[in-house]
Amino acid sequence: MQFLGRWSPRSFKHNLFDIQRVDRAFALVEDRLFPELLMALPSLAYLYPDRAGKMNRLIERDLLSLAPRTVASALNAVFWTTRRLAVPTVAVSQDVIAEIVTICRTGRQSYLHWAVEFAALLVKSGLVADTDSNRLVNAVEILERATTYVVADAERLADSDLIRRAALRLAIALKDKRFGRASTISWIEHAGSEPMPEVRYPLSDPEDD
Amino acid sequence: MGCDDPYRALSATVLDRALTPPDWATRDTNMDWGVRIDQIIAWVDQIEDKQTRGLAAYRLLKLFEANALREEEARRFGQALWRFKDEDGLPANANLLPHVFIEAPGADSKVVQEALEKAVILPLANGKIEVDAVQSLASMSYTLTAQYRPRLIEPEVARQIYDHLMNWPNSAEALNPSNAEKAHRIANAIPRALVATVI
Repeated sequence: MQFLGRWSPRSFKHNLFDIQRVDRAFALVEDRLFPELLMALPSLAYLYPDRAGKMNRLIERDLLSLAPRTVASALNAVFWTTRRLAVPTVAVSQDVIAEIVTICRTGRQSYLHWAVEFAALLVKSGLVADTDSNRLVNAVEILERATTYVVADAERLADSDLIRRAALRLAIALKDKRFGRASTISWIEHAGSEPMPEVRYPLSDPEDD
Repeated sequence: MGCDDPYRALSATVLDRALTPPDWATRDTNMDWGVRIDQIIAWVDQIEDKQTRGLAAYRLLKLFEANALREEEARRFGQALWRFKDEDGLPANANLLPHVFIEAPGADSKVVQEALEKAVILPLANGKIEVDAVQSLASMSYTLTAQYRPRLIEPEVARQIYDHLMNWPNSAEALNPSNAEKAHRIANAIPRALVATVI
């Protein structure tokens, strides 16, 4: 994928959307009538920064959902907030980050590869506290073992290469921030011989998103 | 970097070779490509049948995106594409989303902009929420190479579109269980359209 560049709303200078319109979107997400709309809330919170707290509470709530589509929307919101907006007024909260770390550690099924990719993005952006970084080091070890080609996890076979690729990206991000154990550092050093090409992408394209 | 397992190292080499993108610079020596591309352009140019024309146009568009068409081939593709137009002024039976024509060859940018207004912007501003239109609204702010290039729409029109998209979850179409697949696609496209083009 290409790096799309940072986004900024045009309506900011036009004052296009009043607070009632913005709150209508928040209400649709809060009432679970339109979970996909969560992805648009960071842009609206950019216009009204006092809505950033509510945005974070909704992201955290939907990350905990058992509905895959809702989890995907919450992860999209994290990505948009961290990668595209990347402004201090609309940042993901430490509670949201801790929840993503938990998803990585527990290997929760829905969109796990996204969660791991975005954990790497959060680490690269310097947003993850030391405690959570150490938990992610542990997560990398677990994911690396769980996605080996010899011990195929039948339930996760379809996306095990994507999870493995994301785990490698996370391992590299952690190593760059001076977190890691001998086993994960050794994995990075030998990752050039991973059989699946997509798993090797993080070695050649560290900016890939 | 080394590898202790020769089998894995070999697999990696073979896969690398198989997946290495072709070198388009050597295309001049390969006449078969030219003949085949001429044939596909002819399908776009001569046949009004939606399926054939659509498949041929899509294939040529992918080659155009990959910069694999010669200048003269791209020009003929553009002529063929725009030969048959629909009521909005966009290529007919091409089976491509409207925003694609912004960068497709042969396009007159003024004609495309006017056609996009008719095919995408105005229907959405009038509350006609169709999946192709919402997806195009999201994608029209990105180039073929996925670079963000916001498309400006009039503030009042943006507000109208926003209001209609906010009302969509309560619409009869969204609530109709037999429409679930289409509703799911629209639900996914709406936030992308909002963040890319409307907000």
